[in-house]
Amino acid sequence: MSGSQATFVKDAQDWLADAVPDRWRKERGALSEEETVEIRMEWDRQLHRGGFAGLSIPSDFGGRGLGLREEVIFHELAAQAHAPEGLGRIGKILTVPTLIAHGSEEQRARFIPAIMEGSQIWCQGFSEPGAGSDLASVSTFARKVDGGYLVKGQKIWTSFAQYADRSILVAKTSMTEPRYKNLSYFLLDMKQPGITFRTIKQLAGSSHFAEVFLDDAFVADEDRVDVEGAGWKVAMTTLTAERGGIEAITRYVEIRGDVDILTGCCIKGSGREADAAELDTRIELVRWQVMKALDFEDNPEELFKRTCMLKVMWSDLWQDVTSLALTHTCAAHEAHWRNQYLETRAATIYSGSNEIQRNIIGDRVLRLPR
Amino acid sequence: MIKTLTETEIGRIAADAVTELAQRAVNGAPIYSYIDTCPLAWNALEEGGWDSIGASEADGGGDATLRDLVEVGKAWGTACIPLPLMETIWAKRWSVAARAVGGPVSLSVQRARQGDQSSLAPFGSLAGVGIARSIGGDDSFERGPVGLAEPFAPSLCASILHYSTEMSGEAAYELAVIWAAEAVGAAQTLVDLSVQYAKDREQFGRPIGSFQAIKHRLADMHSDAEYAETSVIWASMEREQAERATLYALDTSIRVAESAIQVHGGMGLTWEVGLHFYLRAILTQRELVTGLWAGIRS
Repeated sequence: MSGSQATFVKDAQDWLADAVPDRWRKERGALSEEETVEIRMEWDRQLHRGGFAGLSIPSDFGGRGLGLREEVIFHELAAQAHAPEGLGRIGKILTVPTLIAHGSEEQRARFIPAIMEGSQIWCQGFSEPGAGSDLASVSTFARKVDGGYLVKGQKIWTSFAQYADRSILVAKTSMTEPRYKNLSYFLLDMKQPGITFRTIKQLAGSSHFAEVFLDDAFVADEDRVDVEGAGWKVAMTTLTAERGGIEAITRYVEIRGDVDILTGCCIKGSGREADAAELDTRIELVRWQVMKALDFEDNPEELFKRTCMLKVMWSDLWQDVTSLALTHTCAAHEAHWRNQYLETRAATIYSGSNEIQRNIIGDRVLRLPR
Repeated sequence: MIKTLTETEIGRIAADAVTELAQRAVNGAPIYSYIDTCPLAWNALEEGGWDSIGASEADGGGDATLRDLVEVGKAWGTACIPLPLMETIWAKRWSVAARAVGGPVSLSVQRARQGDQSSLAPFGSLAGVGIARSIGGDDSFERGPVGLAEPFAPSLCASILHYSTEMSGEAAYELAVIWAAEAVGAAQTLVDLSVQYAKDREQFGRPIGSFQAIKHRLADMHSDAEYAETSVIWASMEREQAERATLYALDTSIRVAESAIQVHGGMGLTWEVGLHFYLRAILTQRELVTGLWAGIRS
């Protein structure tokens, strides 16, 4: 470990020890929804004040201008410190990189500082009931009017919809242009009368997503990213922004905690200790795979070759952990494992189903014919 | 802490050199054609000093780390050439006598099987290879061929002996990592061969790699080969985790080899296409590594 990395780690640990709210650390389960939202919104502002917002975003755009390595280190330390997850994460991980790549000077100036400060919450309006894995087949339509567009349609699986100030949005802007050329990318104001939403209760009983209904919602011309018809190209930037390693290290800490409960308690005396030990090996390999990938930080193609499988790796593993644990749980952990088992059904579906992830490996890494 | 896992310069240079020597020797020939008549002369490896890169500089070696030897092992495992390069590198790292004796050297490992006292010596049936009685002590060598030929894995030219090579736990640990690295190199080759086959082979008027049933299997093979590599790197950097990490690398490499045969369909079943040579080598390496860990524990 280099000296500067050691300093970074020390600073981050000290800051986290002080910054993570005691109430969150100790009684997270007992907090009301309002309290939870307030803590998660305040966390984004704390990150900014502490200098830990946008570690890998260039300093010209208000970030720290550090690398993916520091971003991964911080996310692991934050997860270990039981830090909250800020409500502003869509803005930081999706909106900001997209605006840096494709936004106008004016759009960057208007949105990036607010996102970095934690004063503006974003959501992602990509998926639709008829366009899940096949994103290019969205049917939400943005009709051209004087000064902007009127958007009509429905989005689904939208995290943070009820709190969001703005949404990145992919909508059709042409009925005649061919597939991939008929879409445009917008920065939609969520606080307007034409937008309603309904939360989706999931199989485990909790609600992490919402449906969003757009009924002639207005979006101004200056809130379109790039030209009309460039929506697919811009959306691809959003979707391929390298965040596999950051997500994986956060999951590593969570799954590590679950495996510790399993091997330290539930599996003892079950006769399945060897299966639990293999799960322990697999979760450590998630972390080692991330470390190996980081050595290729400066070579996007080589980096992707080593991160492209992380999502399949940790999500399959997490399900294997909860399946084994549910079968062999002790009485004290039964409620935990029932909930984790049901919650992890989602892990192999969200942020690109594992089937789509395998297609991406086949197409982009192995260059197999389509 | 988040560490850097890269090898040092000597590891990179040696791995590249070994890859180039092997490729030039094989020259695109199918594996079945060179498995019985070795295409590479031992002299070529010795003249470049590649057989002694693991020894310290003071002993005329290249000061390679174990992490470096993982890279060399992978490169050598890719080719499946029937010569004990990795065994010799390891022996010259640990034994004054091995450095002095010259020529290829190998060793013998007690098998970890119930009711079986025999030992397995890779390259024990190859003429001119010195099989060590011990490594790191007062070492002596018995010139091969020795023992009864064990032909299961042709690229390893093994034989069955009634003695195993004495070595320290530390030396055995390093050898386990090196053999696991060779298996990972073979697994990586099998991924490449299978991807190429799936691009070339057409059925229903399309390359079979365009079908998701094949594409997803290949994606899993790529992922498995990555985990296997990561696992052996982990083993090389954390001694106390090395048993499970080397065995995970070997088990995962075997899974890759099984999938490679499936992707090749009927061709995968043939002797001539030769995927089985890699599979047989990896299976034997798992047996050897299992034997090493049993020896370390006892």
